[in-house]
Amino acid sequence: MTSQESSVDPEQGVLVNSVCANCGGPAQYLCEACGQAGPRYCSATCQSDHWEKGHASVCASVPSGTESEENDSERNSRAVKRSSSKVYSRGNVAQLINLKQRRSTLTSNTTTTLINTPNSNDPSPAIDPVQADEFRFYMQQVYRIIKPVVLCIVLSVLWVKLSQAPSYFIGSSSPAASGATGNSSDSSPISTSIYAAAILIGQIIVATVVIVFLFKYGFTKILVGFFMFVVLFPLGFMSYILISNIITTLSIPLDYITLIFALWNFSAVGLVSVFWKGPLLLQQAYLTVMSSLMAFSLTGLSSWTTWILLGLLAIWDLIAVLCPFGPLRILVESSKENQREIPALLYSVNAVWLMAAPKLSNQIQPTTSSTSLQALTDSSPSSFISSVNSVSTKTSAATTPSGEDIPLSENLRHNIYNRNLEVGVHNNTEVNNSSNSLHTNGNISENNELSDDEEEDERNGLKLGLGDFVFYSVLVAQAATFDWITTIACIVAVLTGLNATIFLLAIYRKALPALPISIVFGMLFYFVSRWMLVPYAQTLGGFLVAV
Amino acid sequence: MPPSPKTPPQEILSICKKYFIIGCFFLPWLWVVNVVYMWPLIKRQDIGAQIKKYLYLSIFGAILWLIILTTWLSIFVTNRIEWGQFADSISVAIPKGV
Repeated sequence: MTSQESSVDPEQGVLVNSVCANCGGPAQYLCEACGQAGPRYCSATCQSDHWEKGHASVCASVPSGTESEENDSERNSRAVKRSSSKVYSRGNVAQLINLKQRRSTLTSNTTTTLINTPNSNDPSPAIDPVQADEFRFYMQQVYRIIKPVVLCIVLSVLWVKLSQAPSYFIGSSSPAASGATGNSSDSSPISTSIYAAAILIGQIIVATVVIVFLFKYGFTKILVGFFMFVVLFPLGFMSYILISNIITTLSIPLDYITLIFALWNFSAVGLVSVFWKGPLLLQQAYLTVMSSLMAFSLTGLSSWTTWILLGLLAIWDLIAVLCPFGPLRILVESSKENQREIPALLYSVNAVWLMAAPKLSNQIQPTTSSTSLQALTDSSPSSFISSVNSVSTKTSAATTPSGEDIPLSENLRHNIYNRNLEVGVHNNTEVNNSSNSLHTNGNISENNELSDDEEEDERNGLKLGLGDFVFYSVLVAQAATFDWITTIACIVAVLTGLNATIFLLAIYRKALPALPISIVFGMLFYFVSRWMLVPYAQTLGGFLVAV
Repeated sequence: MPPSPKTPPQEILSICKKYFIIGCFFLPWLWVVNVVYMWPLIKRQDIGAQIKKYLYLSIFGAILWLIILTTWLSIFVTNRIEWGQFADSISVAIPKGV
């Protein structure tokens, strides 16, 4: 890009403007946004210098929102496409969607960048645009993982309430009465509950070990068959039981022909879209509904059995993930060694991928350039959060300089997404670079190499077992059989526990069990609100009525 | 949300076709999914026409099933009491008090 002598523009006949606005030398290039009316430059460096000197406040791209946004988004999409071309060419729904989403977030980013640039000389650059963008990105990730969890919990509460409806209409509406119906099986001796819970947890342990064994020795086809059964069971059988429950309680006249037809449609489409191909939204919806049905199937247990089961599960989760020979730990490590995906039904914010092992890799794949949060439906209900790989050093080098003089808490969070969400952050910073300096061919290509490197680490990021979804829902559904106050308290407690786990994950940077904190919180809140809050509210309510 | 544009057109077409064929096994819901899934691709130059054919067939079939089902349900609900024993035997749950 050497500057050449272009004293007179023959078409325009304007001599004045062909001088570089920055250094005064002969100029050949003009600002893309301003066009002929804008300043001329001899080189890209001069343009970016001039941009910082004040063109940013004058440039036509700043006030006229739409046009410049289009330009920017085009540029960004080009950058994104280029950076992730390897992945993109594999072609799947998720990446397309991601690209769109990223583009839209980026457009907003670039506008903020443009507006913020003139202030960059201020002594306190506490909110760096790049960083603000990273905050936004991180919040989106947390929101995206919370959303399906909440949905699943709410659905299973709904199932419980619907199939329990008579206790509202027939029994008195006081919480104690519905609690009595819900806990009618409490009188069964504790030993029976322990026995039942032990059987269940034994099954879970055996299933987990078998899955780990099958994965380690590569029997993928057996696993696919197993997962098909696991999906089909709640979709077909449990929804049949649920629907006939609801029909009975609400007295809906319905014949078996229609019911079987509807069930066949529901479960067959679920099977096709989850195991083969289908719209992303449908896949996510099916997996969420499936886990809520799974949770509903476990609410049939007596309440003491459920509590013992949940407590044992939390302990088992700790053992399985943290012990050196825990099966889930082995699973994570062997997937890292063999460069294979963990065999499970994977619910992610971007894509549902089943068994994304090499053989099936033409199916929907994990996305590199996209969000790296994946919720993992481990079919064995025990589960874990893991941040498998750490940040590639290059990325953190690229991002950390901006994090030097920010307050402690922000620094902490900064680290969080450095650690967990590195891919997305990386892309964002890359594009921010490109929009800042307007001429960034060099930058982009450099970053390209980086992102190529990072595609090796595409299993990075946060993974949450959807088995967690199931057991969170079981806990809340168990509370829902008692009372609304305890239900809400348990929902809050479970979500708090999930957030705390994610926080811990950012600190420890290794696979962590997701169940223990949430379940301990949930049980604590359940018993506290059941023995203290509900009687308190009832007493208050009684006074209200009396007065 | 259509499949990625980078998917080879032949593959998209075969997905669409398979969706339609599987849908013939009493699966109108799959046809509906097919229509929603593939509808944005209908204007494509290369395979748009063929996709359109399958989608129109799917829509037609789904509407047919809808009509059949609603008709059957309304007949069942209105005639349930007259049919007596037979209706009770195919009911999922016999509503109380009706």
